[in-house]
Amino acid sequence: MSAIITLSLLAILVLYLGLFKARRALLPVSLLGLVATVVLYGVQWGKTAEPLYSGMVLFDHFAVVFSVVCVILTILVLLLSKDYFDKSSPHVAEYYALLLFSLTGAVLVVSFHNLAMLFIGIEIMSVALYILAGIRKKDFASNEAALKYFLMGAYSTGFLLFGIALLYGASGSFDLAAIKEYVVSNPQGISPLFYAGILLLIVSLAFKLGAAPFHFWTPDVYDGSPILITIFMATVVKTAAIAGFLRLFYFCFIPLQDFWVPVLLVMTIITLFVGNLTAIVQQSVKRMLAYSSISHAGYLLFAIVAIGATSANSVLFYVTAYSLSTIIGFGSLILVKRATGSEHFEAFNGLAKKNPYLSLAIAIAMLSLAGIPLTAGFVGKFMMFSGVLADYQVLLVVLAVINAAMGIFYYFRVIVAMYFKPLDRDAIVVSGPYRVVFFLAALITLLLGVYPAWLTGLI
Amino acid sequence: MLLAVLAGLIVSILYIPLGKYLRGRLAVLAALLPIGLFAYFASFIPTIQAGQHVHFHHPWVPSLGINLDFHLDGLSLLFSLLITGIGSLVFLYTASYLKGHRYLDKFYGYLCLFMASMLGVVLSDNVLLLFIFWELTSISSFFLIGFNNDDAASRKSSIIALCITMGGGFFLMVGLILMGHLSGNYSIQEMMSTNEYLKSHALYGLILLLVFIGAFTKSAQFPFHFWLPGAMRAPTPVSAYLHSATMVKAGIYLLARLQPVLGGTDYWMYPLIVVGGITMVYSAFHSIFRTDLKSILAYSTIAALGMLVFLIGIGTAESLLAASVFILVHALYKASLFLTAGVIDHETGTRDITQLSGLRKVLMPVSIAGILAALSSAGLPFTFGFIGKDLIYEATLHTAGILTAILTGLAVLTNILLLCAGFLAGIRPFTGKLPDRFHGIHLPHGLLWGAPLLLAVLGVVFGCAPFLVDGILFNPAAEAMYQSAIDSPLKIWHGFNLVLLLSGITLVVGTLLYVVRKPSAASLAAIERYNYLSPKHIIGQLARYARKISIYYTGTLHNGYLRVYLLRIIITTVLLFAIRLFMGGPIRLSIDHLSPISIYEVVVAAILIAAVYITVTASSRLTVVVATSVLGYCVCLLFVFYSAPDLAMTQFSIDTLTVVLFVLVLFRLPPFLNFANRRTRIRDGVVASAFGLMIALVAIQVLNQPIDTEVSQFYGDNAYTLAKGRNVVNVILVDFRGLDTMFEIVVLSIAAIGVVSLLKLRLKASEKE
Repeated sequence: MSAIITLSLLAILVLYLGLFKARRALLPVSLLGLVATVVLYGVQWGKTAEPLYSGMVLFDHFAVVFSVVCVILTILVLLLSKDYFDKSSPHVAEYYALLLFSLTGAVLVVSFHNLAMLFIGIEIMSVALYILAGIRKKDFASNEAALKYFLMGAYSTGFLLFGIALLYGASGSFDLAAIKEYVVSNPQGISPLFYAGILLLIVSLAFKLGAAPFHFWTPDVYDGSPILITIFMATVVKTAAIAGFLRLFYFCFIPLQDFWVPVLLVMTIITLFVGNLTAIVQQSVKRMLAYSSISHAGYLLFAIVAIGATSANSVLFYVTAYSLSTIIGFGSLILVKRATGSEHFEAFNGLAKKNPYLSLAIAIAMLSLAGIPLTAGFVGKFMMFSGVLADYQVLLVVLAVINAAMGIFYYFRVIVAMYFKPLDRDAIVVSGPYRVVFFLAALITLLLGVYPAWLTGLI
Repeated sequence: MLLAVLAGLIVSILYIPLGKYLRGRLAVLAALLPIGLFAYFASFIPTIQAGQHVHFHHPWVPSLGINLDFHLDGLSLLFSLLITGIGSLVFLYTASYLKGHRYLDKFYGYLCLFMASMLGVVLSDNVLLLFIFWELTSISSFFLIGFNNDDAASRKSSIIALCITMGGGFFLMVGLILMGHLSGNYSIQEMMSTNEYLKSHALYGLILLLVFIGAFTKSAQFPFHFWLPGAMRAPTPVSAYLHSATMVKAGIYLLARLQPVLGGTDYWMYPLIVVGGITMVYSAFHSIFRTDLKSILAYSTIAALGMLVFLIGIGTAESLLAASVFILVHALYKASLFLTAGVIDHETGTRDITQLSGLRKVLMPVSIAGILAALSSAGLPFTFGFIGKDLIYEATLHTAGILTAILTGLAVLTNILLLCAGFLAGIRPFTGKLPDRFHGIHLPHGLLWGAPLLLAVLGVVFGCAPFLVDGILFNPAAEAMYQSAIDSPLKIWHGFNLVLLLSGITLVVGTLLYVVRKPSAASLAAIERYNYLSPKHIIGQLARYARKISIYYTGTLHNGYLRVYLLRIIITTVLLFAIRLFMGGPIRLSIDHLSPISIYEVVVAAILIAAVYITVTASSRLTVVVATSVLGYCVCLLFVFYSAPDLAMTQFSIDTLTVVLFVLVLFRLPPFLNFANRRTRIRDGVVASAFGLMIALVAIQVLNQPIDTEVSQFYGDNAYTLAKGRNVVNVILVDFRGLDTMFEIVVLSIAAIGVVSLLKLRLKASEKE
């Protein structure tokens, strides 16, 4: 809980710093605050978790681990944002503050113990992002992204609220424990309202996660927003969304598996195919990553289709691997775009000759996204596949394999461009913070790929 | 053992920082690694010959079932020696072949990586570990094929090869995970004890399918074979090493390794025989039409791989022995032919056999190597190929019933064609008249011709003295596949029998074919007319269709229009609910518990309907706004009727605010444009009605739900005692839910501020105008 308070105060503090024009202090203070948050979580680790504040939040291992993942990802994003926004606008404090608010929302989403908190968390997370997506006021693409994200998001919120209301109507409580109690104690007499509520929650959570057929906003918004915001959406928000999804379903809805698993199964398959089929033909790396993030949402849903004790670990691993690689992918795109002005595959041509280490990091990220052994992405895919196979969802896995094969094609296009295509180009200057982020992300990706046990036993 | 497997990996990592010192004369030192490993594995020969197995266990990720388990038996030993032995020669050869190349160190790095992963594949006992190494071989092959990276075709073939082998690899992974789940652990040795259960399980067929896809893609079996000829764009040492001697045999190895676990059933046997049979005849046939040296070798390699799959499919002790012998036979002569082709390419600058002839005059040792290798591939007596061919015929002749004739026929046909292909590649360039332009060629460095010559001579040595290798290599290898003792020493002479007759026929017909057929570009063009029937073309076509679908899909569904996106979300939601209603049995809607309808409600409902009609049909924005506000106020009235004045108040103020905001915004909007035509209107109408119907159904169901009256009871009981107020509604608003009310006021104030700023904005805009 102290972590949430720290985060909120930090965001307000950053706003004040902006007010007093202390621009140089913004980044250090934000980073310091985030590190402090991680430390506070670390202190909490291992203690028995009790629902706090009339059962509003519960900081069990699940919540702590996913919160820490979100915070660390935000640290990486903030590191990348040094110098990024200074050029476009003098009001950078808002940017930091909004990111921190959004992060607070994400933390609430992964640690809620009451549906009201789920709603509030999602809204805090999203409202900040609606603004962030449009933070480049003069850029039409950015404006369009913000407006689309806002309208679609508001729409999905309606579903979320309606769903929560129906669950409340059936079970008489917002509290996860009470809802679980209702489900467990009425095996035959579950009200039809409850089922309708589950459906509506699936719709709204799938929307936040970017799973088909509620994914339509993702490519447009990811493509239109400033790349850094896209990174945040593709990593932190996705992490929070899948963790919240899993938390709700694992806590409350397991006994009703027969009802919602087929729905999610179909959605997962559609998501996989939509993401990959569209990613194949993209000429822009940014759009490719955006579409492929849809397919990753599909792999993440595997854990919910085959829900069980190991789901949390699989999601944790997969989402960590995916986020780290995504940070490298989009982060390098910032640099490449700055140097060449283009986001296309061709912009990566011949990069390996001039920037061997940057290229190595990108290559590791792409290998990880494609799920190649010795990277974290492989272990993630492996855990997902074996989890689903333990449930004998053979059809799903076979279709997923076809998709994984498609994925190889477009991820390797980047590698081919970097390593095999000759082009005389100037070396890209990689500033200090970027080096740190790329180095850390690539290193962790490899370490987790070689020795996954560090992460698999956490939850 | 762990170190032996990982040595290549470590060395390849060391090449990144240290590589630049090893580009020049010191490059030869790289060969120390495979030579050392060869010696290491050779030291296990006595142990294996004594019938013992060597097992190493290191825990890695026990929680996921992935452990560093290595198991060395006859089969693994055969492959390990092959990998390190041919690897040593290829490493030496490369030092000279790519002398002075800018990225020679990188090349060695990839080769080391490949060698390590290939050793990993053949030594792993844990299937997941095997899979990890399996994918690493594909990756290193990808980088090696793309090594000549100035060439667009080379880039394309590297990515095709990667997609096929890695995609197949993912299928294999699923198959292996399934096997692991069913048998309870991931160790191949342990799986052998549960093989009966595996074979009787309902998912056995699926496992076989997945494993076959993995093995067939890797070993270039029909219809996935086409990546291999494309992969020949790699530098020749790579073709010799990866794409004929070792990597493409990983699929063969896998089948051989899993033979005791999954084999022995019809489901195992027939697919392998059929696919192997088609592959070997198809590509042997294709090989004799090629004019490019490496293409000939590529197709004949595919044919040889098909032959191996075919032999494993037959699955008798004889056929497995034949397979294990043929693996070595083929590796020796094919690597030798590839390396000679490399020398020819290196010295003459062409690989077109219609232009090459008479090279024996200038490249004598190379021509000896080529001719010896070609003779071994032809299966002339006193070459190793002869023994291999005999064993194959013996294996096919000992099958049951009608199969004998068919299988033997196929094998003879393939061998005839292969013989011709071998002669084309190994003999044609060296015989005949030397063209003038090749007179200036000198014999290259000893490493270049030494390596193929050594391999070719070994082929003859083993052919004359098979006892040198049979007991120590082949019998243990075949035993590992067959899982019981095999003791049949290889013989040079079997006496006059059917096998000898078949060998003779093969030789005579094949030689005749070689003499009669002159390779020409015309016949190649003739056969290429049928390319549209080839799997490569068909799969390429499929990929194009997928692309088209994808472009079409992206263009139509991701068109950027918010209204279209919303429409789809609504349709999906309605469908979800419809399915739920349909599955959930009959809908029970009862209106018994509802209060009777009064005249007020009827009137309000009529106004509502009229307002909706106006909203939908109006052609001016202002009218629409007014009509929607009427809707809102009607809802307020309904709240009032059902004694919820607080709700009515909130709804009322929010509605008013919305209207004000709307009106203010309207001024700044561009003129009203109606994009909708009749069809979209009808569609939208249907979707909207369906959505409304769904919400209505849910709402009616909510009303049927027994209402928990405790809440209102609580307020009624405690309004006075706790809050000292008689009016329950007031007490709720200002006391029980005082904070709510306060925040509602805050929200309204913020909205009001928004209104003010909008008003100001408008003024400024008008000032500008």
